[in-house]
Amino acid sequence: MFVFIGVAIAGFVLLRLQPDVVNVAFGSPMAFLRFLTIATPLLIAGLGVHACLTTGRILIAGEGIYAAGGLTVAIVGTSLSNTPLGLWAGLTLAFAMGGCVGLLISWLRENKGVHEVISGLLMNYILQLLTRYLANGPFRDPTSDAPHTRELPWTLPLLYPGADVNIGLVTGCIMAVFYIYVFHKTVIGRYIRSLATSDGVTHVAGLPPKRTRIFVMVVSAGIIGLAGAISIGSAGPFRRFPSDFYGSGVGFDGLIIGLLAGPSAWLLLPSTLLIACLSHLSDALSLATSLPRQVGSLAGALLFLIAATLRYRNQSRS
Amino acid sequence: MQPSTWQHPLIITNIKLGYGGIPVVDGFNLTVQPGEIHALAGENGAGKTTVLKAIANLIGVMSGSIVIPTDNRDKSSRVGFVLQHDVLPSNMTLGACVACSALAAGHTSKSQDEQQLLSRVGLMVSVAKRVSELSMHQRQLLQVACALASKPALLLLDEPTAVMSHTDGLHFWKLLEAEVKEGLTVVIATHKLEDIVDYCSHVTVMRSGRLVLTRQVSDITLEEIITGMAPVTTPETGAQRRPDKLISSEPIVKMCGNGAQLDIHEHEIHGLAGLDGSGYGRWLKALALTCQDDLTVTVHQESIDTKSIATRRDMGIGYIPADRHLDGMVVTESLEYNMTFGQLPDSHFKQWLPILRDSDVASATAIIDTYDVRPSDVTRRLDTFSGGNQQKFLVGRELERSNTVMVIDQPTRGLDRVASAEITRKLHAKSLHSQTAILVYSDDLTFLINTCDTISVVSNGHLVQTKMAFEWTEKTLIEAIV
Repeated sequence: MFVFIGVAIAGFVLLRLQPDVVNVAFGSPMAFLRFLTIATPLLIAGLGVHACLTTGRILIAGEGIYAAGGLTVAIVGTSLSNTPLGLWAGLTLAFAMGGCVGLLISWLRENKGVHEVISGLLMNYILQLLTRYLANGPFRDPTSDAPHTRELPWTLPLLYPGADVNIGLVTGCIMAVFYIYVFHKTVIGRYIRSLATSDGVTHVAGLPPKRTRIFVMVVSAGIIGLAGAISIGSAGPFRRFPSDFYGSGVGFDGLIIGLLAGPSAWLLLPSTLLIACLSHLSDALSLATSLPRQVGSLAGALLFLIAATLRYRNQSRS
Repeated sequence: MQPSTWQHPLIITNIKLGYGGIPVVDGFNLTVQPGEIHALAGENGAGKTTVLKAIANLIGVMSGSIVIPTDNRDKSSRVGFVLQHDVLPSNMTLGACVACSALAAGHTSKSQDEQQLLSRVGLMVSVAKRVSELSMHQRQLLQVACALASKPALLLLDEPTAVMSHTDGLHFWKLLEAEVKEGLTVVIATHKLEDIVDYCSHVTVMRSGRLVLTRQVSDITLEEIITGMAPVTTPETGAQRRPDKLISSEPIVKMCGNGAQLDIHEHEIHGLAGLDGSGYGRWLKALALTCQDDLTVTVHQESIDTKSIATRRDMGIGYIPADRHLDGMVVTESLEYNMTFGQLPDSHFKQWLPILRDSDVASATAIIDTYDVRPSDVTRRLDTFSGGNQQKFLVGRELERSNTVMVIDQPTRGLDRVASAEITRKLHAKSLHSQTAILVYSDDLTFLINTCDTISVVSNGHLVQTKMAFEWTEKTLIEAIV
């Protein structure tokens, strides 16, 4: 709550000092659609991270998984460019790729005791190098000087002609509704959420805690992989996987969204909008003024610190 | 550094305490002189734990005052607190737990001191062991060791002996007496009224958050304490009349291991008695949770050794765990929310259907009424209920399910006499009316003798004796156990 109030005050101050920035960011329907395009992968990645957090695990490898998902769809999409299945095969395999990374991290955590933050950070590093190498090497577009893969022959179906907003947004919204339903309204959701405090309740009822946690992390990582695929599959700047795709920050932003939402899935949407707003405004800020867009990242990092401190302070108090 | 002691009394004047603005204790006064062992007695939900938490400054005072005197060096007194449920980090070693407690109070601690302290409290295990490897009663002893490591002037104890066996309890009280001679002052909340009479110097009786009486123990009888706790007509708390029932000849449950066989029939309540570490837990686990190496179990003539826990629940094998906080419920959620737990729906499809909140509220309300859980608010968070009332809710929730076999571990832990007697009555009713076979372990031998039809004694994992309950007395049972 304090975080949201703080950001609202900061937004108000910005509006007073730099009304142009807000005008650039939200002053037209196209600007607003651009905002929704930014929000789409954030919402999906935030969902993935939040699901893991509810079981007491932190999926810190989101950034790497996001990049891996993007690269997967770029490779599959260009390899199967002659078949209509390329789009769906790409999305499915991006999900599977993310799931595999999640499986590895959670298997190490649950069966070998390797902390998921450590393995997640290392996995991020591995995926960063791997995706950069593949986009710059075997799958590089030979016709271009820039280091990226070949252009996808398709884009995700658009929701509004002329804007980048696509069915990824609808998919994200459906997933969010389904997620809220499962985690807040069903028996299985309550058991999964109880894993954040203790394994005992699920164990005694007959739901194996380890397997449940692994399942949730696999699905979560798969969802983040899908977010990466949706980003690459969008019209607009991408449609090809650039070698520096890792570092776009969506995976880390997903972590902030998950932490900001706390135990409530209902807060996922406002958290997503907040982070998307921050990202969108920092883009506008860099256009309207000479300030670098990394100001937004800095604000995001501060939010992350505050959210993480509040969350873990409350946990340690309880 | 010498332990801090008091020159002046602890004075509590007209305090009002509560959770979320709702008062639980009101107009409560207490004076504890240095060197006393002062007991707080009262029914479940009387407010004993709340008062202890307020003294320890874990919750704020809504009105009134608590004056904790400075110690013999005019420094603020150190207060040690042993909670009813341990809060020790499970991955830490015992030595680290003790050392941290000592360090937090400004003392240094050596490994041999830590080992010595553990031995002094009766915990004969290595300091290198981890908390997760300890049983519940061992963790309770570790909490006592940690509290003593900080060399407190005042030690607050919340039901410390609830999870201890008779022998451990004796050792614990001797330790406490020795510490008091060194200048320690103790305030203890307990349901074991005989312990109050035997070991405490003063007793304060509470009822519904109010002070009923404060006396020297030498000036009061056990009956007066009981009357003070619940003066209104209460159900009989002594030996329960076992209902007349026809126990079938063919057992529902057959458990075999180490050359012994344990049969549980329809309508039968089969008790297990044994010391902590005697291996009784393996018999409970073999039936309720997972296969144990040398035990084989059949239910309705079907082997369940390879069956998963979920399948066992589907077969109608219910389980009430001993540790209600870790295994039974989610204490940060409300009572109606906790109705979901304990058993998954019998089909996978139902697990994904929306929870019917009205139905859960109705079920939770029924349990509150039937088992006298107080306060009667199903939307309150579980951790704002007293330990005894949480236990009543857990037992009620599981007994109300339609299981054919029930495995119950320590059903009366943290319950007062009236509530324990009520649980006995409910178990009798369950076994009589629902053809349920019940296997129950308790370290409360009176409860076992009053409740069970048959009692088996477990030692070193073996069943050493099985007799009808009426053939046992508390004395013979203790002899068999020891």
